[in-house]
Amino acid sequence: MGKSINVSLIGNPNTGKTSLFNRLTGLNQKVGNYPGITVEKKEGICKLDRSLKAHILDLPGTYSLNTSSLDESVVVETLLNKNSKDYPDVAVVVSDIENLKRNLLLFTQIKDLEIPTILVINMADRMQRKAISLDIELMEQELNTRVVLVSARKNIGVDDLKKAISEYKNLKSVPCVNASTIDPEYFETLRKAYPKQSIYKLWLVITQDVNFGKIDRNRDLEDLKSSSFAVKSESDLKKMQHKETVVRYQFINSLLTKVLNVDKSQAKDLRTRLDRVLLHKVWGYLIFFVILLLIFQAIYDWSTYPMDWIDTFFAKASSWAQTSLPEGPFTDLISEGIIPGLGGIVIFIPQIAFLFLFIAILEESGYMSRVVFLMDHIMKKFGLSGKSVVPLVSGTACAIPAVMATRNIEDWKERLITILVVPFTTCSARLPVYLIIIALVIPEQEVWWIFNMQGLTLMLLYMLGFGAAIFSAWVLNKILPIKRKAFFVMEMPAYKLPMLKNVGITVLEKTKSFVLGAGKIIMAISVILWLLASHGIGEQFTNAEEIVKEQYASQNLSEEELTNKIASQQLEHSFIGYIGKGIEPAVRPLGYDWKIGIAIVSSFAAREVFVGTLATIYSVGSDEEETIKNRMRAEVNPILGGPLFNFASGISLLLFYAFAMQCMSTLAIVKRETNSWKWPAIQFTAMTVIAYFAALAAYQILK
Amino acid sequence: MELLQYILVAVVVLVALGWLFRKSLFPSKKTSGCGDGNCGCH
Repeated sequence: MGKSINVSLIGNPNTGKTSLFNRLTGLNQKVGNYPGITVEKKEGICKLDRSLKAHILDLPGTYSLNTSSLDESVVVETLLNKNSKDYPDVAVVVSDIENLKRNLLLFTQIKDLEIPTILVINMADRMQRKAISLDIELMEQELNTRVVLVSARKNIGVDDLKKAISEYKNLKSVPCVNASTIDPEYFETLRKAYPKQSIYKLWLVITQDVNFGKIDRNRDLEDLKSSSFAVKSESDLKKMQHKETVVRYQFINSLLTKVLNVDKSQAKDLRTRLDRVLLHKVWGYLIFFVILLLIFQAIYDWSTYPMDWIDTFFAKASSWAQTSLPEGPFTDLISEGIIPGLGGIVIFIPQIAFLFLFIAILEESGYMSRVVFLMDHIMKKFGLSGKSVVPLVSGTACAIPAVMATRNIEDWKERLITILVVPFTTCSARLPVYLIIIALVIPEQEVWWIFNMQGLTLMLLYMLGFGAAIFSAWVLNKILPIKRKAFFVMEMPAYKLPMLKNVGITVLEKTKSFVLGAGKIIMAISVILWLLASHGIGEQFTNAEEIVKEQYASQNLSEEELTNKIASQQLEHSFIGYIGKGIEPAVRPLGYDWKIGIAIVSSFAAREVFVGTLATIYSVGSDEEETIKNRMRAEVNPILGGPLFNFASGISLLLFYAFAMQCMSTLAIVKRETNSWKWPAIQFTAMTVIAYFAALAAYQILK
Repeated sequence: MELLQYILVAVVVLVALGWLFRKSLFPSKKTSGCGDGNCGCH
């Protein structure tokens, strides 16, 4: 009977490892074209020559040896435990010709364990079609290993691999990356304490406790856990692991620059053809613009139907509660605070669902990586990511789904900057405020025969919002003391049809995250705002009905007019009314009176509340734009005389709403996404200060 | 009946205020949350 050696097949998921296993062993394993097909060890025998057999072990796919899941830990356990019956005499690392950069990370880690290693580059049959050339000889020299080109699917190179395995005694067991450079002092101490052990193996044992924990390993390494080497904090070890990854990718980048060449102009495959169009200097941007337009349309237009149904449903529920439940303050809380508060959460679901439906499709199809490639170099100048374009554009519909959409930005600094600047973009809630103020203070006249002055003003406000977002991003990039990731590995994934299940899960997860995360904050603030707006102290509030009836006794008002006057009187003397009056000295230099002050305070719930609050204060009792507009036009400035809403105060209000963070839901979602009140507090303060001074400057110059 | 309604309002408002207060002053300590750039959610 001949000799038998252990051969482990290791590689990233989806590199064709199982196909190669089947070629080598002749077993019929299940093969799928999606990551994670191999979830346990699979074994088979391969006859290499008359006297040598290989016991082939197909290990679960893993991206690196810094594992965190049970099936991935099987790989580490096998490679660390020399006493294991499966410990490999040869490790065959399977990579995919199209994803070499990512695949080589795992290879360099395994090589550093000083196990004889062969690098298999699978799917080599695609090289010609994709115009990829590889200097194998140089690669073997640089990596100190055997490199074999294989196509498991077409049975090319499998015999070469068998030959390479049978010559395993010639394989060098030397590391290719010196990981100890990440902390030379620490590694030197480690080396001195365990001179007989592989330094990288020691490092992996220590870090596996951070990554995973209970791994069966050699007895002589067991004491490491309790030794002084494990005393580095978890975050320090994580930082060291990140540094190690950086060092490895630097090595891989430098290697691939020397050995790999891709001539895209000669490539003939579908992916390259698609890339040629989608990444084209003109067509690429045009197609992306059309896709953005589609997303914008979905959030802005399509979602209005379900939003209207939700709005109607909650309005009816509120009215039902008011009429059906016993009269009293708790019924008022339910009908005016809790139900509208719930409605204020649920109403965002259609926009969130539409946006994430598109984002999930773009991610799943592989197009999002192309977007990053297209936009990154432009957005990076302002401290943003290529992926920031989607949140910035969707922010013009609503900042809430937009802030949530920043989750796919990998770099924390870029993500934070995007979160902080997105609320500057003109969301749909600003529109009712803009439209009514523009109609009041901007003349409806034509400009150059085709444009309308009011339309131009609205367009300028949109541009102002976008400009403010970009400028703030640039400033934040300069002042935020957060380090950017030192490396950026971008691989273009293959195009594929999005899986309905994955898309559905993403939409469901994001919606759930909003409802359960930010929803609770919105609900709590809604209850408090309700209390402030519907309660007050003093006779003017408690006897509002009698006071109004007495005041207007001679005017013979209708019941509706009287109800409106009472509501106005109550709001004026409610807690929120006192706050509005309290801030009057601060808002007077902006050209506002206390009534606008109340509207500003109450519109913290949502910007569009501004119009409704003014309707209540002016006792209009209707949200009809024309009615409120006429009432606002008639309002007189109590100090200066003349119309309160004139050009100067109108522009001042427009600028205030363009820059101010008047949206509790956005603050709630920023809190949820940054896991801290610090960032929403900074955002609220900075935006309010900018809004205040912009409005002040505008009023003082124009009055 | 009205007294009961006032009590219920007071309870709801206190719960809302207390919850917001706790959320802002004693944030959850879970390290896997967003905000540290290593939260696994992006």
